[in-house]
Amino acid sequence: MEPDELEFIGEKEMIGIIPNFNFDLIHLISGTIGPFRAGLPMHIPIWLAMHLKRQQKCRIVPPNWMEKDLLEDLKEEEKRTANFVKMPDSNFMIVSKLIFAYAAEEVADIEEIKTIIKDIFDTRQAKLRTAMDGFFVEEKTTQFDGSTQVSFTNLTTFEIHSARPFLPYALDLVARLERVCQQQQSNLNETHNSSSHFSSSYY
Amino acid sequence: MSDENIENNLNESEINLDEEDEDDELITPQELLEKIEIAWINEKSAPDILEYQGELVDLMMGQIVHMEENLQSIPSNDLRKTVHKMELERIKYIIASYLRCRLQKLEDFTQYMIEEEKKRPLNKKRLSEAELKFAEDYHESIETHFHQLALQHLPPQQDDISKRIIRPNVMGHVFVKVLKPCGTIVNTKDEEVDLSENSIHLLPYQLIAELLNKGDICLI
Amino acid sequence: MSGQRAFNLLKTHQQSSDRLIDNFNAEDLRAVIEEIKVAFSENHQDALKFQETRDKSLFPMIGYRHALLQRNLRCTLAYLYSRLMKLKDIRWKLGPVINADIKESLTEAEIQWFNNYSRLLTNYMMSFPNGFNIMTDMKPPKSLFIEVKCLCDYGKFELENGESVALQKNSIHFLPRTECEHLIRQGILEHITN
Repeated sequence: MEPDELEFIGEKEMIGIIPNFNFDLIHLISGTIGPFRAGLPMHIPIWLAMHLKRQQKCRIVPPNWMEKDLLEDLKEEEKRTANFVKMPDSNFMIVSKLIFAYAAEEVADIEEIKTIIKDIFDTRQAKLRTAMDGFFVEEKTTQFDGSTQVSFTNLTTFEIHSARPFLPYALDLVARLERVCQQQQSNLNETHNSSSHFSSSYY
Repeated sequence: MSDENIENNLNESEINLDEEDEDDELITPQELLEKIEIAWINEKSAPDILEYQGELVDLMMGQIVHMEENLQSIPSNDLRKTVHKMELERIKYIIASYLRCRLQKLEDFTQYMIEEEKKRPLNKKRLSEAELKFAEDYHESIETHFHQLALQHLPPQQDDISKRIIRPNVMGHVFVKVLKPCGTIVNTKDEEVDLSENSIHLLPYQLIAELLNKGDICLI
Repeated sequence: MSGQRAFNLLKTHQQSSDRLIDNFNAEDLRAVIEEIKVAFSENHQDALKFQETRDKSLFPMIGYRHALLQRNLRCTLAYLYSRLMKLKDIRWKLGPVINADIKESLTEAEIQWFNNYSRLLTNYMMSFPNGFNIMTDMKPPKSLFIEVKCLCDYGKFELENGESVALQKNSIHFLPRTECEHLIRQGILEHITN
C-alpha cells in the first residue's frame, strides 16, 4: 500500500465534530449519519469532517485519547512492555496526522502531544526493528513470554506498512537463497541437470 | 421523486446477496462495503490472485448506478449531493483499484494464471469470465508479437515457452491478521504459531492461503 | 559471434529511461537474429560432422554456440517484452491514442499491439453492465475539487455542469478532480499540492 492509500483507509474512521448548521439524516452506503444540529456534537467519517472543516461548516473534536496525561501513560507503558501495546485507535498514527493537519487549533497542548506521539512511535519503531532482527538471527533469544516467536500483534496498519518494503522482501530473499542452496546440493547429487540455470521462475 | 425516497431503497432495505439461494443471505450496504474493502486489501497484499468477489462487485456497482441516478434529481448546492458524491468517489476508487490489481497480476503472470485456472474444479474458479478472456487474449497478443518480430525468423524449436513462465512467489511473506481463532499452524522453521483472535503474524502466503480463502484471516 | 549485439540491444534500451520509449532498434535486432541463425546452422553442420567422425573435439564449440543462441534469444524476447511494458504504461498514462512523437519510435507491430491492448481493456470494462471505467480513479480521492495550474495554452474547457474555463498557460483553477484527471495525466494541467 502506498502512503496515500493508507491515509485513504484511515479516513474512514469516525471522528467527532460540532456542526454550525442544521441538516437531516444522510443515508450513506457506509452508514447513516446525522442529524446535524448546530452546536451539538456528533460523529461522522474523517473524510467528510475534513471536507466540512475546509468549508468552515464544523469544528473538529479531537478524539478522547488525544490528551496529554493519557498519552503520557501510554508512552510509559510502551517503554515498560516488551510487546506492542494496543493503541487507542487502529489507525492511531494516521488519525493523529490528519488531526494535526486539519484541527491543530482544537487540540490543547498540541506541541507536547505531538512530541509524546512521536516518542511513542519511535519506541515502537525501535521494538519493530528488534523484532525484525529476530527474524534473521539463527539462535533465537527467548521472548519474555516464553515463546521464540516475534509478535506483531497490536501493530497499527501504518506501522506494519513501515516495515513492509523491507521485511517481507528480505525474508523472501533469504528463503530464495536457501532454496538455491538446496537445489545446488541436489544438483551435485545428480550427474546432469543442464537446464537448471535457465529456470525463469520468479521468486 | 421526493428527497426522502432518494436513499430509501439503499439503506433501509437489505440486499439479497445470493438470488438463487433458498435461504436468502441478506447483507446491508454497509456490510457489503466492508466486505469489499477487505477483499481489496487482501488482493493488494497477496502474491497470487484470490477468488474473484464477483457478487460483491456486481451488487456494489448496482448500488453506485442507483445512487448516481437518484442524485441527478438533487440540486447541486444540496449538501447531500456533495456528500454522496464524495462517498461514491471513495467506493469507485476501491472497486477500480481492486479490479486493476487483479488485471496487473493477470498481466504479470499470464501463462501461470491461465494454466492454474484451468486446473481448478468448477466450484473453485478464481477468475471471472471477463478476466479469463482478458488473460487469454493478452497472452495471445504477446506471443503473436514475439512471433512476428522474432520467432518466425528463427530456426524451429529454439524457443521453449514453458521456460518463459513467470510465477508469483507463493512462499512470499505476508502480514496476517486473525479474524476468527484458527488454532495453530506450523511455520517454515517448524515452529508452532498460535493464530489467536486479533493476533498479527508474518507468514509465507502459501501456508495461510486456505485460511484466507475461508475468511478466517485477512491480510494487512 | 560474441553476443555483444544482444547486450547492446538491451543496454541502449535501458539507458534511454528518460524518454517514454526509445526508438525501435531494428538494426541490432536483425543482427542478433542473424547471429542466432548462423550459430544454429553451424551447429547443425558440426552435428552432422560428428555423426560421421565421432570427433569429440567438436563438443565445446557446439556447447558455446548453443549457449550463445539461447542467450541471444532470451535477450531478444526480453527486449521486445520490455518495450511492450513501456507501451502498456503509455496506454494507462496517456490514453488510447498514441501521439505522433511516440509513434515515430515504434515499429508497426508495436502500434498494432498497442491498439489491441487498448481493445482488450475496453472489452474487459464493457463486461460490466454499465461499462465500469477502471482507468479513472487512479489515486485515492482526496476532495471533489482540486487546485490545478495550467502548463500550456489549452483553450476552452467545458465542465459537466455547462460552465467553461479558459485554460491558459500559468493560470490557476479550482476544478472537479474527476473531470480534469486526464488533463493532468497528459501534462496539460499540474495538480498543485501544498
